[in-house]
Amino acid sequence: MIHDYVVLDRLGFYQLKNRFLVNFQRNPIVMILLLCLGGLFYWGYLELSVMLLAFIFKQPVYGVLLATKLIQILLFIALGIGLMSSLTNAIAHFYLSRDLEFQFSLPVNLNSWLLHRFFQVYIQSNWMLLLFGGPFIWIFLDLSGNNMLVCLLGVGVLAALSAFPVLFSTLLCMSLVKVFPARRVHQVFLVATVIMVASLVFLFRYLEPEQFIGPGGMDRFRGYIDLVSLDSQQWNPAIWASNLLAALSQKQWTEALRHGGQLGGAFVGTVGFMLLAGRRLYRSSWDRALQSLSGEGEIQLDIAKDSFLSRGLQYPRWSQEAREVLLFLRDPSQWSQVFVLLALLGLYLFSVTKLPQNPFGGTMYNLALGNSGFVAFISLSLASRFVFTSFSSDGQAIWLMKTTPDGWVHFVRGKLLVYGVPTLIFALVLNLLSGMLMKLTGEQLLYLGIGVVWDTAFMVFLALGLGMLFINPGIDNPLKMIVSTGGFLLMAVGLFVTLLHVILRLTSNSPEINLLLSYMTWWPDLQDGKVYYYFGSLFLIEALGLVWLCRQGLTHLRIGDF
Amino acid sequence: MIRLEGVVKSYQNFVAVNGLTLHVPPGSVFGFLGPNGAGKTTTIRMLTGILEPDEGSLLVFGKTYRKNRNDILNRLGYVPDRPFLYGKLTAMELLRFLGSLRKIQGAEVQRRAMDLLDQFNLADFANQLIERYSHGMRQKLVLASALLHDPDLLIVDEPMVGLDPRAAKQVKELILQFARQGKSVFMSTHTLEVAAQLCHQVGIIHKGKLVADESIPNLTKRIEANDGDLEAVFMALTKDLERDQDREVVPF
Repeated sequence: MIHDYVVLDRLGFYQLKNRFLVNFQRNPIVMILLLCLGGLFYWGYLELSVMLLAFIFKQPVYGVLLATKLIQILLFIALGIGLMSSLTNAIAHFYLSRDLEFQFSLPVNLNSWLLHRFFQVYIQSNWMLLLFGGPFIWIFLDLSGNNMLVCLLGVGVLAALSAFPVLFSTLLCMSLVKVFPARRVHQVFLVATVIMVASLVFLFRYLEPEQFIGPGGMDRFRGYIDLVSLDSQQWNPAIWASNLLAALSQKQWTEALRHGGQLGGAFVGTVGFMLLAGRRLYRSSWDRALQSLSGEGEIQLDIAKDSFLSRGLQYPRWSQEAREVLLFLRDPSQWSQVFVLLALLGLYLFSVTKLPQNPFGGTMYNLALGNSGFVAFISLSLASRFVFTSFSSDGQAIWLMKTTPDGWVHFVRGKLLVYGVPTLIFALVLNLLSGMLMKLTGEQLLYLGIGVVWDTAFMVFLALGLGMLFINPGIDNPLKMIVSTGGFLLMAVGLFVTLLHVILRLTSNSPEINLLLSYMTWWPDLQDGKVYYYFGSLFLIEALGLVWLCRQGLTHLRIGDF
Repeated sequence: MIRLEGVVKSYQNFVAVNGLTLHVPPGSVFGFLGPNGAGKTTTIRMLTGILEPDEGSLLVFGKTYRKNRNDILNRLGYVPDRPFLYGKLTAMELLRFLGSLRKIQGAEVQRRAMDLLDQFNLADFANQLIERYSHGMRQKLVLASALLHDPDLLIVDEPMVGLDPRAAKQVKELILQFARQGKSVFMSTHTLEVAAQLCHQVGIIHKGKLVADESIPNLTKRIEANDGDLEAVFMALTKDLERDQDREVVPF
């Protein structure tokens, strides 16, 4: 059994290693840059975590209690996130994975196979949680005065806790697939997860976290934390884990042993139950897995013979655009993205109505300029999700474009008009609408609008260029492109340029911010119209860079081997 | 119709096509044979404008892709070995779309599309999403799309893969009829029997080089010298394959 498990896991490991090495061989400089950037971001996160926890620990009387409570809440949230994430991952790995047919034909022990798939779901659902949550717990225990071994044990507690939602999701999926088609269950879970995430973000926004900054903020934060009472949920693994961590932090070893036994026992019992029950459940729903591979359970659409868009396909001028829209509307996997979009829209408008009138001593115009950075982040996400992935979304059918005389420019124009222009309009409407709610003057709105068009156009063309250059028609799910080398590059460059734009706008408008930045950093003095030289140079560099990038992309589309 | 002179195409350290020279005259069916990894698909991808050669000259209808891309593609039909299509379009929509790219519009594209779908027994499924089609149905739809604009040259990669015997017979007749109209077919295949039945001329590629370029009468003589077996001729020409294939695997 162990041998089979190791063989199966090794297969996955090799695939991961090869994917990394192939990316590295293709774009070594980009990969090194991205790794450095990722390392810098992670280092920043660790530093911030240390600062935050040290600040909380230092609070008189309630510091330690507050930190423990915070850990309890974080573990509770981690359990929820893990559950949502593993629900979709479990169904994808147990029923929708393309290699199922191949792996079913292998002479491996079923328990090994179940454990192997379970581990895959576990890693896919929790890697980010472990990457960011693990060090946070380590820092918590370290600041409590514990040695490395205890800190390591604390990280192990998080790892064990993260297994519970995966076990629950696996069994739930297996039970549901016995009754409903796998694909339908997956789609329902996907939409439910998106709605849940959106609700959580709304909940966070409803707390108005800006009130925790400044004088009295810590007291208000403590007030909120005290309101959350999770101690009554003694059946909840998150409570067992937080009790264990609290005992470890206070060096109450007997208590720690008791809670550790509780958590460990439950962990072993649940894994055993999964193997026993999962074996039976999965065997009886085995056929479902194979049926789902052939498209069973897909939402079937009624196709109108002569719809407006269908007729549009025959007009040479607009056929590419008509095709893009038709393919988008007929793909149910795109619909969940619309939920995300609507949630972001709602969140943004809600935030605008809650804006303070005198933010940190600045003006509403400053706030509007800062807010344009927030919208730019949303636009970047949209450009990444829709514009960048749109080239790979054509999939293997891209040969049709390569062997027809229409020309790539028209093809790219289709992507730009169907995905890029709506992104631009979305960003512009959001900014101007919020600007009007903030009672900005006409001149300020114009200035803001020009800035937003510049930000978003940069992102859209960057996504177009990188989408062409990093096109991968062979990928099974184009959404995976977002976490490819090109996707990371888009995010890194997009965020950097957005930040630069926003700071330039703020420093040119606000003498206070200009002074602060010039005083604290190497940032130049941009008052009295000097900013226009910087804006002009930056615009020129960006425009030339984008023209070069898009030309490279077009050449790659035309003669590249993909 | 097609003329290649010393065409070279490499992928990093691997030379896929190495100084390929061949000529396909109008009105002929040219069979392009070779073992796996010999460079057949790379050659076809260059002939259809998907890839550019690194060296040498490649002329289709006496023109180069660099200067006359649209002219060439307007007169060329291509059928790849695997029928990847836009699954979320219907067959009729796909043909409309491909027609529009070649400036065939309105009633004309509708008429041609219906004729072709009818010819390939797909008329009843014209308004169904392609993702629900079987492999064979998709293969037939690709053939229909390649013929939509009445091309002068048809480039086909493995035409019989996935087709049932009836459809395979239909495709063979179609290819012969196409050639009888004075048009040309460039066909890659692994099926030696198909090549012997359909082709006027056969080229065998091995390690990126053309090792045989024979008319069918010449090939028949060779076959007779090898106890009437085309397979024996093929094996003799590509006998060092296994050893070389081991060497050609690109190390990771």
